[in-house]
Amino acid sequence: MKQEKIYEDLFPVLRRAKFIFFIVAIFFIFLILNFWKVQILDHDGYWEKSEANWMREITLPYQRGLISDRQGIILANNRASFRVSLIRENCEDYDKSCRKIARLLNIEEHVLKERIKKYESQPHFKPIVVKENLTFEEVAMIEARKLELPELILQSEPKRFYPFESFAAHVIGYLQELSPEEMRRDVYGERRLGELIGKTGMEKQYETALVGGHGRLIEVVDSLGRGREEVARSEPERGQDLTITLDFDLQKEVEKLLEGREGAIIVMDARDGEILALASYPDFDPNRFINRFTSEEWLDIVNSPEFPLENRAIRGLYSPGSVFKLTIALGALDLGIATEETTFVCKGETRIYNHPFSCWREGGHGEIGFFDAIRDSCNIYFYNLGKEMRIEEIARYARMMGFGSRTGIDLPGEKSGLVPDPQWKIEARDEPWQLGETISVSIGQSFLLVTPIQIAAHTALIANRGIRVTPHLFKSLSLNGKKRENRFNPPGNQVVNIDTSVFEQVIQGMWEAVNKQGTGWAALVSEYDVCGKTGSTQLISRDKSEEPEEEKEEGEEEEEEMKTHSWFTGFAPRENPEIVVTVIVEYGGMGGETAAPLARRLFNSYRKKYDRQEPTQTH
Amino acid sequence: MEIFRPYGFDKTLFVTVLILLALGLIMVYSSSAILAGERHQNTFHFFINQSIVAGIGLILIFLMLPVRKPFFQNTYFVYGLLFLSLLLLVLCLLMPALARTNRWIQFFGLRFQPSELAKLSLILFFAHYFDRKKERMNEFQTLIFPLIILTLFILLIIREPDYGTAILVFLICLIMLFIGGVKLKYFLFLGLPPLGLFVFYLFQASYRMDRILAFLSPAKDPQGTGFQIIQSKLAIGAGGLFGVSFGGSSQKLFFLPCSHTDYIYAIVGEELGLIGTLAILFLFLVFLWRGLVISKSAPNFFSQILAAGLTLAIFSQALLNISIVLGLGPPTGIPLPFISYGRSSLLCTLFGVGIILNISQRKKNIPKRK
Repeated sequence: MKQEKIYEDLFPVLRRAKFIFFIVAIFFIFLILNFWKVQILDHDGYWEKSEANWMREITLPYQRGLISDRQGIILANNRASFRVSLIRENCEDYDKSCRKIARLLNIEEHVLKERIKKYESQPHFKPIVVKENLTFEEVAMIEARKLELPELILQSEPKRFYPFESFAAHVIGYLQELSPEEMRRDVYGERRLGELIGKTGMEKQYETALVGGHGRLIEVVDSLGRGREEVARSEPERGQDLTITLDFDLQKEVEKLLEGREGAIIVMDARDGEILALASYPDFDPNRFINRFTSEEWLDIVNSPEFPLENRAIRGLYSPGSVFKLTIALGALDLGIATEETTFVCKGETRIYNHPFSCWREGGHGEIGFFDAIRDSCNIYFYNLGKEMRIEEIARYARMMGFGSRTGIDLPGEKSGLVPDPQWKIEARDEPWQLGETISVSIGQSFLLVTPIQIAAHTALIANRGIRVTPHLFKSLSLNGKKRENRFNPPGNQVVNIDTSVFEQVIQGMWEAVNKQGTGWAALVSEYDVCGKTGSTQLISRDKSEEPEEEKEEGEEEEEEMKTHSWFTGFAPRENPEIVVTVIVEYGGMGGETAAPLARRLFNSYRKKYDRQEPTQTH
Repeated sequence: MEIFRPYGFDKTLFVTVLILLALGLIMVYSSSAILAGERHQNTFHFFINQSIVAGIGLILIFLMLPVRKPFFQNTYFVYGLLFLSLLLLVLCLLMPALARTNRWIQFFGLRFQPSELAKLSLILFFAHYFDRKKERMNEFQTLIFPLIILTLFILLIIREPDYGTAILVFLICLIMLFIGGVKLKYFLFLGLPPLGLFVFYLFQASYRMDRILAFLSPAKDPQGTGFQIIQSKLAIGAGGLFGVSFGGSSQKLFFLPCSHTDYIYAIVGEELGLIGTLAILFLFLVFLWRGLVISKSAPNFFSQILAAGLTLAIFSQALLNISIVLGLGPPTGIPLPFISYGRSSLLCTLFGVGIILNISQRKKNIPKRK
């Protein structure tokens, strides 16, 4: 009985499975009929489409987003350009066609082959770009030999173009071909081999916004490679346009001032960190990089002794020199080591820890007070303050002022510099800290290394009486004129834990340095209350700074004219500061002689342009 | 009650699966070599990956064959697997997206698609559940629990988003309910909540509507959705009776997207022609036939419904894929069992085959039947 019950229950499974089987069988026959129709009856039609005529896929290049300055002047544009590509599949005899093409396009045969070799892993039917920026004669020549050379195809594409050539090159950056190694990185996942990508500057920083999407055209082509019918087409998508904070006129002036020298200048809005001008000299013409040029040309630029590719404003490591005295002054006041009334006697030289240390003025400054010490940049005064503060406190205040870490400017490759302390020296060099080194650090020498952008950011921090701003170049992104979301969110303005009155005292000293015949007198702009500090220092590579301190002091004596770099950093106006100017000129001599006059012209130009009307920049 | 014959499994089914696997590996290599060369600098990349998983799957089958105790009937195993796949599906949604979808979970560099496991565990669950409740099958209280489970799984899979797999899971569940003996009138009530979900999510993403429209008139679509349908048909049509020769497909040269996964059957059609397409169809038919025979001679209700369910699930997935490749249905990403590249799918399918083969070793101890 029980057995039978189970047996009864089994029945529906089989019956219903069978039912499904019948449905499936009917569908099966339907499928077979369909295959019969597609593969046998309609075969000829499909065959013709697929084989006798073949299809090809053409990439429709997108327009890279434009880059313009704050006034809308376009700094990076696109223009049409012709290029010719080789399809290896269509070559009858690869070597022979290489020879022909090399002769036709006037390129060396081995260069051509090397270039093609780079793309060996690509399928043979994919076009490989062999020459770009063709002249009209070349286009005509290729067009005329079309039947003879079916392996060549001509394409036009929008191409990056920098209308002002080397203008703001270090900020804008340049493009280069995506290499196979880079392609394996996730960031460029959807990009293709040989595509141009941003390598430095804004072009790299905002790469993902600036690129668009490739379009795709699939067409049926005949045996001569002529397109006959479009099968599918997707339009390319434009990249977003980027507006940066640079001011064309100020940038132009900055570059003019730097011409023929080596160095960097930064002009920054003190209130929000917007960079109005940033230049590093020598520079380069980014248009040169766009052409897919040979490796020799590339090495030429990279190996140039002047390092034109190096952006000194964010990557140049310099000793801050006397500019660092501002940090010492702030620290000493904040710690109570010094007050406005603290005085020291400067005799031109002194012995501390049994080492001789000298002031830059041979006869000395005599008895000197706090404001005068900043105004006249007296070394002896700051040796004494630094000695009192000790290296740990100096390092703490230096870091508070932003040294030793990146400012966070939206430019790739920023260096963080170095703030030395005993722990660092043990770890990096396995040597104990020498007390004499503290004395050198007090006037911004020794191991201390900073970048110009750090100096500019630290000047803004002083100008804002303790409010830190992040230097940045990003203003806005837009697509077809419509604003997009903000990519760059500067960290909220941080407040440094130093009393405002301390800043006021240091600023008084900076004001006197410019306005009361101090070292920065050359930056004086009448009725504009410029506050600033000069500095003279050596560009010290890490290896050089290993030399004992005394020797360096002597060396400076002999070759001062030759080797001294010239600093000036300052802001204006004194109350409600608007602008920060930082100048470094390599081999420029004393800061007051070279850097300060350049800064004066920039303060003047800024004032002429912006001071009259109420500034309209948004925060 | 039950006779267990170790290694007395259904050889025909096993050989069929082996032939399908071998064909699959060859086609994966043929259709992916160029893509693999460009993307991984190794033309064997996909082939090797797929071979490894096929090997693991076969080892798994051989490990399962001599197991005398029907482990797949164990309550802990069934519910454990169900819970595991539910957990993995939820985890999937929490994991960072891969290719803008959350279909995979990744641990120790290995990727796994939980929706494949979900299919298997749902079939096991339905078989187990109906076996327990076969006395009170057509009662509301009995049916409400499977309905909740079914809806939950479908919702999770749609959210990944993997609309195609969600539909397949729904279809498999319907088959299970049907062969489980649920009365047809109950299907209305069982099908409504999932159907509601499908309709709701159909209008959530514009590309789904696009795909359906593209399916209705592929020639009008400029954006490439209809393009896939055209290309797929073109590949099959170009194959003719004997195909353009093995390895000679021109469609796999990037013209046909997913040529080694969802659209591999089109490459079969192009390279091996009608002979190839019909051969694979025939092999799947043999698979169905043997699977149902195994189900018929299985010793108890549970084994019967499980064997039939697994067989029908694999077979209907194959049919669905083939119809889509032929342009008879809107394009959704469903792999062809045994053939398409896809490691999670292959492993889970082979696991299912292992269960069917294990069942085939069990016979009723009744001397005479009907």
